[in-house]
Amino acid sequence: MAVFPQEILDAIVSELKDDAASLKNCSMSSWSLLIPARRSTFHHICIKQREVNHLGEFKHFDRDHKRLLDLSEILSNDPSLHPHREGTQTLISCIRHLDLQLASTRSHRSRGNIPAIMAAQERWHAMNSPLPVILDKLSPSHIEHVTLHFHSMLCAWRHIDPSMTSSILKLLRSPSIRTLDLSHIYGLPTDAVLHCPNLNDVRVRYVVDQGSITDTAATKGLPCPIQPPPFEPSYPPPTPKYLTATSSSSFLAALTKASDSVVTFKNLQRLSFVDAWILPFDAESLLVETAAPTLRYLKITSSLNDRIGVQF
Amino acid sequence: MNIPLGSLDLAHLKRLQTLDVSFEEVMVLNQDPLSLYLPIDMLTLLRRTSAPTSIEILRMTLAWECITPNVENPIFSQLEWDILDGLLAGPDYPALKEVAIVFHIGFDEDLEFVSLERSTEALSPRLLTLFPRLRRREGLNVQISIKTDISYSM
Repeated sequence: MAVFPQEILDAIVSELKDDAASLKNCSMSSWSLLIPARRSTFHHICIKQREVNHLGEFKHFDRDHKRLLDLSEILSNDPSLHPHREGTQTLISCIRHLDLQLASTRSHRSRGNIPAIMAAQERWHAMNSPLPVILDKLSPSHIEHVTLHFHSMLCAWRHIDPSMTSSILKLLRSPSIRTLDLSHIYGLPTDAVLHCPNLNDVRVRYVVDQGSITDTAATKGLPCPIQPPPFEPSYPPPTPKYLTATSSSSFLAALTKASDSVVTFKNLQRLSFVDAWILPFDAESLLVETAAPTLRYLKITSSLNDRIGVQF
Repeated sequence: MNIPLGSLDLAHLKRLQTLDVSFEEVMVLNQDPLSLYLPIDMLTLLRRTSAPTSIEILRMTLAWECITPNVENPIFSQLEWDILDGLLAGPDYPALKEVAIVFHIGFDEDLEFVSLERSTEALSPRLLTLFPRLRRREGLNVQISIKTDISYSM
Protein backbone atom coordinates (compact mmCIF):
# COMPACT_ATOMS: atom_id res chain seq x y z
CA MET A 1 0.00 0.00 0.00
CA ALA A 2 2.87 2.32 0.83
CA VAL A 3 3.96 2.36 -2.83
CA PHE A 4 1.21 4.89 -3.55
CA PRO A 5 1.50 8.45 -2.32
CA GLN A 6 -1.19 9.34 0.24
CA GLU A 7 -2.68 11.93 -2.15
CA ILE A 8 -3.41 9.18 -4.69
CA LEU A 9 -5.04 7.01 -2.02
CA ASP A 10 -7.09 9.99 -0.85
CA ALA A 11 -8.30 10.62 -4.39
CA ILE A 12 -9.24 6.96 -4.92
CA VAL A 13 -11.16 6.71 -1.65
CA SER A 14 -12.92 10.02 -2.25
CA GLU A 15 -14.49 8.45 -5.34
CA LEU A 16 -16.29 6.07 -2.99
CA LYS A 17 -18.02 8.87 -1.10
CA ASP A 18 -21.51 7.54 -1.86
CA ASP A 19 -20.69 3.93 -1.13
CA ALA A 20 -20.95 3.48 2.63
CA ALA A 21 -20.16 -0.25 2.58
CA SER A 22 -16.92 0.24 0.63
CA LEU A 23 -15.89 3.12 2.87
CA LYS A 24 -16.43 0.87 5.87
CA ASN A 25 -14.24 -1.80 4.29
CA CYS A 26 -11.54 0.77 3.52
CA SER A 27 -11.65 1.93 7.13
CA MET A 28 -10.80 -1.54 8.34
CA SER A 29 -8.18 -2.41 5.77
CA SER A 30 -5.30 -0.02 6.52
CA TRP A 31 -4.33 3.19 8.24
CA SER A 32 -3.66 4.80 4.89
CA LEU A 33 -7.23 4.21 3.79
CA LEU A 34 -8.86 4.85 7.14
CA ILE A 35 -8.12 8.56 7.16
CA PRO A 36 -9.67 9.42 3.77
CA ALA A 37 -12.50 6.93 4.38
CA ARG A 38 -13.38 8.62 7.64
CA ARG A 39 -13.26 11.99 5.92
CA SER A 40 -15.77 10.83 3.31
CA THR A 41 -17.99 8.93 5.73
CA PHE A 42 -18.52 11.85 8.06
CA HIS A 43 -18.29 14.66 5.52
CA HIS A 44 -22.06 15.12 5.43
CA ILE A 45 -24.20 14.37 8.47
CA CYS A 46 -27.98 14.54 8.29
CA ILE A 47 -30.04 14.52 11.46
CA LYS A 48 -33.70 14.14 10.67
CA GLN A 49 -36.50 14.31 13.19
CA ARG A 50 -39.78 12.74 12.25
CA GLU A 51 -42.90 14.79 11.82
CA VAL A 52 -45.72 13.56 14.02
CA ASN A 53 -49.03 13.26 12.26
CA HIS A 54 -50.76 10.70 14.41
CA LEU A 55 -50.17 8.80 17.60
CA GLY A 56 -48.86 5.71 15.83
CA GLU A 57 -45.82 7.62 14.67
CA PHE A 58 -44.56 8.17 18.20
CA LYS A 59 -43.33 4.57 18.25
CA HIS A 60 -40.51 5.66 15.91
CA PHE A 61 -39.30 8.19 18.41
CA ASP A 62 -37.74 5.61 20.71
CA ARG A 63 -35.66 4.27 17.83
CA ASP A 64 -34.66 7.77 16.72
CA HIS A 65 -33.80 8.63 20.29
CA LYS A 66 -31.50 5.63 20.54
CA ARG A 67 -29.77 6.53 17.27
CA LEU A 68 -29.13 10.04 18.53
CA LEU A 69 -27.72 8.62 21.76
CA ASP A 70 -25.41 6.40 19.68
CA LEU A 71 -24.25 9.41 17.67
CA SER A 72 -23.71 11.38 20.86
CA GLU A 73 -21.61 8.55 22.26
CA ILE A 74 -19.54 8.22 19.08
CA LEU A 75 -18.85 11.95 19.11
CA SER A 76 -17.96 11.82 22.81
CA ASN A 77 -15.52 8.97 22.42
CA ASP A 78 -14.31 10.22 19.05
CA PRO A 79 -12.10 7.18 18.57
CA SER A 80 -8.63 8.48 18.15
CA LEU A 81 -6.53 7.43 15.24
CA HIS A 82 -3.01 7.34 16.48
CA PRO A 83 -3.07 10.80 18.05
CA HIS A 84 0.61 11.16 17.33
CA ARG A 85 0.36 10.08 13.73
CA GLU A 86 0.69 12.96 11.33
CA GLY A 87 -2.42 13.83 9.38
CA THR A 88 -4.88 11.99 11.56
CA GLN A 89 -8.14 13.78 12.14
CA THR A 90 -10.72 13.63 14.86
CA LEU A 91 -14.12 12.46 13.79
CA ILE A 92 -15.76 15.81 14.49
CA SER A 93 -13.19 17.61 12.39
CA CYS A 94 -14.22 15.49 9.37
CA ILE A 95 -17.77 16.90 9.37
CA ARG A 96 -18.13 19.63 6.77
CA HIS A 97 -21.85 19.68 6.07
CA LEU A 98 -24.48 19.45 8.79
CA ASP A 99 -28.05 18.96 7.65
CA LEU A 100 -30.65 19.44 10.40
CA GLN A 101 -34.22 18.57 9.46
CA LEU A 102 -36.27 19.21 12.54
CA ALA A 103 -39.86 18.88 13.67
CA SER A 104 -41.33 21.24 16.19
CA THR A 105 -43.02 19.24 18.92
CA ARG A 106 -45.69 21.86 19.50
CA SER A 107 -45.98 23.68 16.25
CA HIS A 108 -49.40 22.56 15.07
CA ARG A 109 -52.44 24.15 16.58
CA SER A 110 -54.74 21.55 15.06
CA ARG A 111 -52.75 18.77 16.61
CA GLY A 112 -52.36 20.67 19.83
CA ASN A 113 -56.08 20.40 20.36
CA ILE A 114 -55.86 16.64 20.68
CA PRO A 115 -55.00 15.79 24.30
CA ALA A 116 -53.55 12.36 23.50
CA ILE A 117 -51.11 13.78 21.01
CA MET A 118 -50.29 16.65 23.34
CA ALA A 119 -49.52 14.15 26.10
CA ALA A 120 -47.37 12.06 23.79
CA GLN A 121 -45.55 15.15 22.59
CA GLU A 122 -44.85 16.16 26.16
CA ARG A 123 -43.54 12.67 26.85
CA TRP A 124 -41.24 12.98 23.86
CA HIS A 125 -40.24 16.38 25.13
CA ALA A 126 -39.45 14.93 28.54
CA MET A 127 -37.19 12.30 27.02
CA ASN A 128 -34.50 14.91 27.08
CA SER A 129 -33.34 14.70 23.51
CA PRO A 130 -29.59 14.38 23.14
CA LEU A 131 -29.66 16.63 20.08
CA PRO A 132 -28.69 19.84 21.92
CA VAL A 133 -25.75 17.98 23.45
CA ILE A 134 -24.71 16.75 20.00
CA LEU A 135 -24.92 20.27 18.59
CA ASP A 136 -22.86 21.58 21.48
CA LYS A 137 -20.20 18.99 20.73
CA LEU A 138 -20.12 20.10 17.12
CA SER A 139 -19.44 23.73 17.93
CA PRO A 140 -16.87 24.98 17.40
CA SER A 141 -15.99 22.64 14.60
CA HIS A 142 -14.90 22.56 10.97
CA ILE A 143 -18.44 22.60 9.61
CA GLU A 144 -18.66 24.78 6.53
CA HIS A 145 -22.24 24.26 5.41
CA VAL A 146 -25.28 24.19 7.72
CA THR A 147 -28.79 23.41 6.52
CA LEU A 148 -31.60 24.07 8.96
CA HIS A 149 -34.96 22.95 7.71
CA PHE A 150 -38.24 22.44 9.54
CA HIS A 151 -40.79 19.96 8.32
CA SER A 152 -43.75 22.12 9.21
CA MET A 153 -44.66 24.64 6.58
CA LEU A 154 -43.90 27.42 9.00
CA CYS A 155 -42.45 26.21 12.26
CA ALA A 156 -42.56 28.65 15.17
CA TRP A 157 -39.08 29.10 16.57
CA ARG A 158 -40.49 29.79 20.02
CA HIS A 159 -42.16 26.38 20.09
CA ILE A 160 -38.85 24.63 19.80
CA ASP A 161 -37.24 23.48 22.99
CA PRO A 162 -35.13 26.38 24.37
CA SER A 163 -32.10 24.14 24.90
CA MET A 164 -32.30 23.22 21.21
CA THR A 165 -32.60 26.80 19.95
CA SER A 166 -29.77 27.87 22.22
CA SER A 167 -27.54 25.09 20.86
CA ILE A 168 -28.46 25.93 17.28
CA LEU A 169 -27.60 29.61 17.77
CA LYS A 170 -24.36 28.64 19.47
CA LEU A 171 -23.47 26.35 16.57
CA LEU A 172 -24.21 29.12 14.08
CA ARG A 173 -21.56 31.31 15.66
CA SER A 174 -18.88 28.95 14.43
CA PRO A 175 -16.23 30.80 12.37
CA SER A 176 -15.90 27.86 9.98
CA ILE A 177 -19.44 28.19 8.59
CA ARG A 178 -19.47 29.53 5.04
CA THR A 179 -22.92 28.55 3.80
CA LEU A 180 -26.16 28.80 5.71
CA ASP A 181 -29.39 27.41 4.31
CA LEU A 182 -32.48 28.21 6.40
CA SER A 183 -36.01 27.23 5.49
CA HIS A 184 -39.56 27.22 6.85
CA ILE A 185 -38.90 28.97 10.15
CA TYR A 186 -41.38 31.35 11.74
CA GLY A 187 -39.86 33.81 14.16
CA LEU A 188 -36.17 33.22 13.54
CA PRO A 189 -33.99 35.74 15.39
CA THR A 190 -31.57 37.63 13.20
CA ASP A 191 -28.79 36.42 15.51
CA ALA A 192 -28.86 33.21 13.52
CA VAL A 193 -27.25 35.02 10.60
CA LEU A 194 -25.58 38.06 12.06
CA HIS A 195 -23.27 36.17 14.40
CA CYS A 196 -21.98 33.77 11.81
CA PRO A 197 -18.73 35.64 11.23
CA ASN A 198 -17.38 34.19 7.99
CA LEU A 199 -20.61 33.63 6.18
CA ASN A 200 -20.26 33.69 2.42
CA ASP A 201 -23.53 32.32 1.11
CA VAL A 202 -26.94 32.83 2.74
CA ARG A 203 -30.11 31.10 1.54
CA VAL A 204 -33.43 31.80 3.24
CA ARG A 205 -36.72 30.26 2.18
CA TYR A 206 -40.02 31.03 3.89
CA VAL A 207 -38.31 32.54 6.91
CA VAL A 208 -40.24 35.07 8.99
CA ASP A 209 -38.45 37.21 11.52
CA GLN A 210 -39.14 37.37 15.23
CA GLY A 211 -40.12 41.04 15.16
CA SER A 212 -43.04 40.32 12.86
CA ILE A 213 -44.52 37.96 15.42
CA THR A 214 -44.10 40.50 18.20
CA ASP A 215 -45.73 43.20 16.07
CA THR A 216 -48.62 40.92 15.14
CA ALA A 217 -49.13 39.89 18.76
CA ALA A 218 -49.09 43.51 19.92
CA THR A 219 -51.61 44.51 17.24
CA LYS A 220 -53.99 41.78 18.29
CA GLY A 221 -53.50 42.40 22.01
CA LEU A 222 -51.84 39.01 22.47
CA PRO A 223 -48.94 38.39 24.83
CA CYS A 224 -45.65 38.92 23.04
CA PRO A 225 -43.28 36.01 22.74
CA ILE A 226 -40.32 36.12 25.06
CA GLN A 227 -37.32 37.55 23.29
CA PRO A 228 -34.11 35.76 24.15
CA PRO A 229 -31.28 38.04 25.22
CA PRO A 230 -29.17 39.07 22.24
CA PHE A 231 -25.72 37.64 21.86
CA GLU A 232 -22.88 39.98 22.47
CA PRO A 233 -21.18 40.15 19.10
CA SER A 234 -17.71 38.71 19.33
CA TYR A 235 -16.88 39.26 15.66
CA PRO A 236 -17.69 41.93 13.13
CA PRO A 237 -20.93 41.18 11.25
CA PRO A 238 -20.60 38.80 8.30
CA THR A 239 -20.24 40.15 4.77
CA PRO A 240 -21.66 37.41 2.54
CA LYS A 241 -21.13 37.42 -1.22
CA TYR A 242 -24.24 35.47 -2.15
CA LEU A 243 -27.82 35.82 -0.96
CA THR A 244 -30.86 33.89 -2.17
CA ALA A 245 -34.21 34.77 -0.62
CA THR A 246 -37.50 33.03 -1.24
CA SER A 247 -40.56 34.66 0.29
CA SER A 248 -38.64 36.00 3.26
CA SER A 249 -39.19 39.75 3.00
CA SER A 250 -39.80 40.33 6.69
CA PHE A 251 -36.63 38.48 7.64
CA LEU A 252 -34.62 40.51 5.12
CA ALA A 253 -36.14 43.68 6.56
CA ALA A 254 -35.19 42.60 10.07
CA LEU A 255 -31.67 41.78 8.92
CA THR A 256 -31.18 45.19 7.39
CA LYS A 257 -32.60 46.87 10.52
CA ALA A 258 -30.77 44.75 13.07
CA SER A 259 -27.39 45.08 11.48
CA ASP A 260 -25.37 47.80 10.01
CA SER A 261 -26.64 46.82 6.59
CA VAL A 262 -23.98 48.87 4.84
CA VAL A 263 -21.38 46.63 6.45
CA THR A 264 -23.27 43.36 6.18
CA PHE A 265 -24.12 43.67 2.50
CA LYS A 266 -21.11 45.64 1.30
CA ASN A 267 -19.59 42.63 -0.49
CA LEU A 268 -22.75 41.15 -1.96
CA GLN A 269 -22.09 40.08 -5.53
CA ARG A 270 -24.96 37.75 -6.33
CA LEU A 271 -28.52 38.38 -5.23
CA SER A 272 -31.58 36.30 -6.07
CA PHE A 273 -35.17 36.98 -5.09
CA VAL A 274 -37.52 34.10 -5.68
CA ASP A 275 -41.27 34.57 -5.24
CA ALA A 276 -40.71 37.89 -3.55
CA TRP A 277 -44.43 38.45 -3.19
CA ILE A 278 -44.90 39.00 0.52
CA LEU A 279 -45.30 42.69 1.20
CA PRO A 280 -43.56 44.96 1.93
CA PHE A 281 -40.91 45.01 -0.72
CA ASP A 282 -38.87 47.73 0.94
CA ALA A 283 -36.41 45.15 2.26
CA GLU A 284 -35.51 43.92 -1.23
CA SER A 285 -35.19 47.49 -2.45
CA LEU A 286 -32.95 48.50 0.41
CA LEU A 287 -30.83 45.42 -0.08
CA VAL A 288 -30.30 46.11 -3.77
CA GLU A 289 -29.43 49.73 -3.09
CA THR A 290 -27.04 48.77 -0.30
CA ALA A 291 -25.32 46.19 -2.41
CA ALA A 292 -25.30 48.40 -5.50
CA PRO A 293 -21.54 49.10 -5.58
CA THR A 294 -20.59 45.40 -5.64
CA LEU A 295 -23.56 43.58 -7.17
CA ARG A 296 -22.72 41.63 -10.34
CA TYR A 297 -25.73 39.37 -10.67
CA LEU A 298 -29.38 40.11 -9.91
CA LYS A 299 -32.16 37.60 -10.37
CA ILE A 300 -35.83 38.31 -9.78
CA THR A 301 -38.41 35.57 -10.14
CA SER A 302 -42.11 35.95 -9.73
CA SER A 303 -44.67 33.23 -10.12
CA LEU A 304 -47.91 34.72 -8.91
CA ASN A 305 -50.53 36.17 -11.18
CA ASP A 306 -52.05 38.71 -8.82
CA ARG A 307 -49.01 40.95 -8.86
CA ILE A 308 -49.19 42.00 -12.47
CA GLY A 309 -52.30 43.71 -13.61
CA VAL A 310 -51.28 47.28 -14.05
CA GLN A 311 -51.74 48.60 -17.56
CA PHE A 312 -50.20 51.57 -19.27
CA MET B 1 -43.88 41.58 -9.87
CA ASN B 2 -44.30 44.49 -7.49
CA ILE B 3 -40.68 45.01 -6.74
CA PRO B 4 -40.11 48.49 -5.36
CA LEU B 5 -39.49 50.03 -8.71
CA GLY B 6 -39.77 53.55 -7.40
CA SER B 7 -36.39 53.28 -5.76
CA LEU B 8 -34.63 50.74 -7.94
CA ASP B 9 -32.48 52.35 -10.60
CA LEU B 10 -30.42 49.89 -12.63
CA ALA B 11 -27.85 52.58 -13.34
CA HIS B 12 -26.97 52.59 -9.65
CA LEU B 13 -25.76 49.01 -9.94
CA LYS B 14 -22.50 49.99 -11.51
CA ARG B 15 -20.97 46.51 -11.64
CA LEU B 16 -24.08 44.59 -12.59
CA GLN B 17 -23.19 42.17 -15.36
CA THR B 18 -26.16 39.81 -15.41
CA LEU B 19 -29.83 40.56 -14.94
CA ASP B 20 -32.13 37.56 -14.88
CA VAL B 21 -35.85 38.28 -14.71
CA SER B 22 -38.47 35.55 -14.74
CA PHE B 23 -42.21 35.93 -14.73
CA GLU B 24 -43.51 32.43 -14.44
CA GLU B 25 -47.16 31.57 -14.95
CA VAL B 26 -48.18 35.09 -14.19
CA MET B 27 -50.12 36.03 -17.27
CA VAL B 28 -53.34 34.45 -18.45
CA LEU B 29 -53.99 34.47 -22.14
CA ASN B 30 -57.41 34.37 -23.70
CA GLN B 31 -59.06 36.08 -26.61
CA ASP B 32 -60.35 38.99 -24.58
CA PRO B 33 -57.86 41.85 -24.97
CA LEU B 34 -59.06 43.50 -21.78
CA SER B 35 -58.01 40.51 -19.75
CA LEU B 36 -54.57 40.45 -21.24
CA TYR B 37 -51.93 40.98 -18.63
CA LEU B 38 -48.78 42.67 -19.71
CA PRO B 39 -45.29 42.44 -18.31
CA ILE B 40 -45.56 46.06 -17.26
CA ASP B 41 -43.30 45.79 -14.26
CA MET B 42 -40.55 44.25 -16.31
CA LEU B 43 -40.65 47.12 -18.77
CA THR B 44 -40.74 49.64 -15.94
CA LEU B 45 -37.73 48.01 -14.33
CA LEU B 46 -35.74 48.17 -17.57
CA ARG B 47 -36.90 51.70 -18.40
CA ARG B 48 -36.17 53.22 -15.02
CA THR B 49 -32.51 53.92 -15.46
CA SER B 50 -31.06 57.34 -14.94
CA ALA B 51 -27.89 56.59 -16.91
CA PRO B 52 -26.47 53.88 -19.20
CA THR B 53 -26.28 50.55 -17.40
CA SER B 54 -23.38 48.11 -17.22
CA ILE B 55 -25.50 45.02 -17.93
CA GLU B 56 -23.82 42.58 -20.33
CA ILE B 57 -26.17 39.63 -20.10
CA LEU B 58 -29.93 39.92 -19.94
CA ARG B 59 -32.05 36.81 -19.47
CA MET B 60 -35.80 36.97 -19.45
CA THR B 61 -38.36 34.23 -19.08
CA LEU B 62 -41.94 35.17 -19.73
CA ALA B 63 -44.54 32.55 -19.03
CA TRP B 64 -48.21 32.48 -19.81
CA GLU B 65 -50.93 30.16 -18.84
CA CYS B 66 -53.00 29.85 -21.97
CA ILE B 67 -56.72 29.10 -21.97
CA THR B 68 -57.23 29.48 -25.70
CA PRO B 69 -55.77 27.26 -28.41
CA ASN B 70 -54.96 30.29 -30.55
CA VAL B 71 -52.29 32.24 -28.75
CA GLU B 72 -50.67 33.94 -31.69
CA ASN B 73 -52.64 37.14 -31.76
CA PRO B 74 -52.84 37.85 -28.04
CA ILE B 75 -49.10 37.51 -27.63
CA PHE B 76 -47.71 39.07 -30.75
CA SER B 77 -50.13 41.92 -31.20
CA GLN B 78 -48.80 43.70 -28.15
CA LEU B 79 -46.95 46.95 -28.66
CA GLU B 80 -44.71 46.25 -25.71
CA TRP B 81 -42.30 44.13 -27.73
CA ASP B 82 -41.51 47.11 -29.89
CA ILE B 83 -40.94 49.25 -26.82
CA LEU B 84 -38.68 46.58 -25.35
CA ASP B 85 -36.81 46.25 -28.65
CA GLY B 86 -36.14 49.99 -28.78
CA LEU B 87 -35.14 50.10 -25.15
CA LEU B 88 -32.59 47.30 -25.31
CA ALA B 89 -31.15 48.46 -28.62
CA GLY B 90 -30.91 52.01 -27.33
CA PRO B 91 -28.30 54.00 -25.41
CA ASP B 92 -29.30 52.78 -21.95
CA TYR B 93 -27.86 49.32 -22.58
CA PRO B 94 -24.54 49.93 -24.34
CA ALA B 95 -22.68 47.00 -22.74
CA LEU B 96 -25.13 44.28 -23.75
CA LYS B 97 -23.44 41.23 -25.25
CA GLU B 98 -26.14 38.63 -24.83
CA VAL B 99 -29.93 38.74 -24.67
CA ALA B 100 -31.84 35.52 -24.10
CA ILE B 101 -35.63 35.63 -24.03
CA VAL B 102 -37.74 32.54 -23.46
CA PHE B 103 -41.46 32.57 -24.18
CA HIS B 104 -43.00 29.79 -22.16
CA ILE B 105 -46.61 28.95 -22.95
CA GLY B 106 -48.39 26.46 -20.73
CA PHE B 107 -51.71 25.38 -22.21
CA ASP B 108 -54.47 24.82 -19.70
CA GLU B 109 -55.11 21.14 -19.06
CA ASP B 110 -58.50 21.47 -20.79
CA LEU B 111 -56.52 22.11 -23.98
CA GLU B 112 -54.78 18.78 -23.94
CA PHE B 113 -55.87 18.27 -27.53
CA VAL B 114 -53.56 21.08 -28.68
CA SER B 115 -50.53 19.83 -30.57
CA LEU B 116 -47.56 21.34 -28.80
CA GLU B 117 -45.29 20.65 -31.72
CA ARG B 118 -47.64 22.37 -34.16
CA SER B 119 -48.13 25.32 -31.86
CA THR B 120 -44.40 25.79 -31.48
CA GLU B 121 -43.92 25.56 -35.25
CA ALA B 122 -46.67 28.09 -35.84
CA LEU B 123 -45.31 30.56 -33.33
CA SER B 124 -41.62 30.29 -34.13
CA PRO B 125 -41.66 32.34 -37.38
CA ARG B 126 -43.30 35.18 -35.51
CA LEU B 127 -40.44 35.22 -33.05
CA LEU B 128 -38.09 36.15 -35.86
CA THR B 129 -40.10 39.29 -36.50
CA LEU B 130 -39.80 40.47 -32.94
CA PHE B 131 -36.94 42.70 -31.82
CA PRO B 132 -35.70 43.81 -35.27
CA ARG B 133 -33.45 46.56 -33.92
CA LEU B 134 -31.92 44.26 -31.35
CA ARG B 135 -31.11 41.71 -34.06
CA ARG B 136 -29.43 44.34 -36.20
CA ARG B 137 -27.12 45.46 -33.42
CA GLU B 138 -23.55 44.34 -34.02
CA GLY B 139 -21.74 42.17 -31.53
CA LEU B 140 -24.92 41.20 -29.74
CA ASN B 141 -25.93 37.58 -29.36
CA VAL B 142 -29.73 37.43 -29.38
CA GLN B 143 -31.48 34.18 -28.56
CA ILE B 144 -35.25 34.09 -28.59
CA SER B 145 -36.94 30.78 -28.05
CA ILE B 146 -40.35 29.37 -27.34
CA LYS B 147 -41.35 26.51 -25.12
CA THR B 148 -44.81 24.96 -24.95
CA ASP B 149 -46.31 22.44 -22.58
CA ILE B 150 -49.52 21.48 -20.87
CA SER B 151 -49.84 22.94 -17.40
CA TYR B 152 -51.75 20.74 -15.02
CA SER B 153 -53.24 22.32 -11.95
CA MET B 154 -52.34 20.80 -8.62
